[in-house]
Amino acid sequence: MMTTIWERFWFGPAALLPLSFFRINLGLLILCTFLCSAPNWERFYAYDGICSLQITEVSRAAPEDPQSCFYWTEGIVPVRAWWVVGLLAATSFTLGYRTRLCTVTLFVLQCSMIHRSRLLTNGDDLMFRMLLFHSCFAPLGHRLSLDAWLRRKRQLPDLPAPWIWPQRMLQINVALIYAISLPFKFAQDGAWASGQAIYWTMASDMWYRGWFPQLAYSWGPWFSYCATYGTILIEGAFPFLVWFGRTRMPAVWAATALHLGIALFVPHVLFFTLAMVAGFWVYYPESMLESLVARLKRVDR
Amino acid sequence: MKALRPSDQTWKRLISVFICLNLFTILYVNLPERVHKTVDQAITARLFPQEQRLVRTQIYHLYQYAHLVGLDNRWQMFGRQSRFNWHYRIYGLYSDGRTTAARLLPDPRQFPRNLFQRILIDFKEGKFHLNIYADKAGRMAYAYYLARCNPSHEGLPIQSVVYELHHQWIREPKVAQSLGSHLDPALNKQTLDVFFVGANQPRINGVSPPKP
Repeated sequence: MMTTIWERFWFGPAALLPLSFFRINLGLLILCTFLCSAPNWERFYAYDGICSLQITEVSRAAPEDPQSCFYWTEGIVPVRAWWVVGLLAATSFTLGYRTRLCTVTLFVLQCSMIHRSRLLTNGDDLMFRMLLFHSCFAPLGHRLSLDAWLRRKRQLPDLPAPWIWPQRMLQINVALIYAISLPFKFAQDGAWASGQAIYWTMASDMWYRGWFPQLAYSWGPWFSYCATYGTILIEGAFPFLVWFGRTRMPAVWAATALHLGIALFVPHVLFFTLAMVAGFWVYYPESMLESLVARLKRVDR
Repeated sequence: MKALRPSDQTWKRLISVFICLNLFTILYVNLPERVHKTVDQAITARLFPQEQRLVRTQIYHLYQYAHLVGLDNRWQMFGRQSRFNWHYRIYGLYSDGRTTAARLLPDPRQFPRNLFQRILIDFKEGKFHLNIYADKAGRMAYAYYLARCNPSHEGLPIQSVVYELHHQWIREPKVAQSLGSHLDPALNKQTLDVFFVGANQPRINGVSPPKP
């Protein structure tokens, strides 16, 4: 009985279309972060950049992690070359050309960026790394990709249906983010229980800086109460509701709305919150996306 | 000779082990600190020294694995909220021994930026400042970087980089509503660090120097 459930849950056929949408969305986001990093790339990751690794006192206090391609190619490959590699890999990943190779390249590069200096690590870096790790095993390039188009053009036989387990790992890990972070919220700050957390978030210029902070207090505590308890409700319900057919899409849409709201009101975590939204594609039922693709094709004709 | 190829069943077993390892890693890494301490105390109290070493080695390997594959994230989104707004004022002190001048150093968060720069180009700056808030080595690294980028000012060489912490308390929501403003007007200043960076700084030359 247990073996059958395990087998069906992890080794059923993968839903290829949701994974393709996920790939395109994630690829575009990573591409954006590379483009936005362009003016600061050397400042962030060069040996003599912000991390100042050539200063003995600094490198003793915060040694560089050798699990990084920057570490092994220092003085041989200019650090800007890795930006070009990242940009090309992200473009190719989005288009679905040599998808597996690009996924592994982006994962290695993302790890290298994190390991170069922990001071520069952002929520979006950690999110991208987690998504890319599971993506290394997932069939991301089987649909809506140049790889698939080239296979058809060369009249190569269809690839065997891959197992669903990498998609399940993505689904579980995204759900676990909420399941893990919600208890920490209550443990770390009483404002989550009292309904004031969103007020403090919006009033802080670390995350917000300037757009309508008066929204959080002008009309009394109600905005903050609704936003705080709404966030708790969505984050608390998501890891459970997302596993049942009827409640899955409402849970995904509510969480998507929450993250788009965060992107609007807390713009300093834009890429992190959009990376969460990218992760939600892996929950979409294949049939829903098939009909969307069919509709788009009809419009195209 | 026929190539050896694992059967589907073998693959499924291997993948199942991999799945369990990854799930256990994520959950273990994200256990609260208190649970980690309890586990550690239980290991010390209940196991013989040799067993303790064995278990601790396995835990160490688990963390190494988590670090290698990037599953060592502790997911704590917006857990603790700050009750005050703060920013650094980072400036350089330039002196030739007779004349001294202070100059605000070019950190993106201490100069006016447009919306595009603030949201997209500076997307790492806020977290970077937060990360060096509790990290003196990080502040020192950044001080050296700023000194290398701005070695002189009006003919005077840089001597030191000063970090001032400016902070303003955020009012309680009820007080903010009644007064119509969420920030207390009093601006508090505190000198955090003075890093002496003057002596023979290696300069940026576009190419990183080889590792010593």
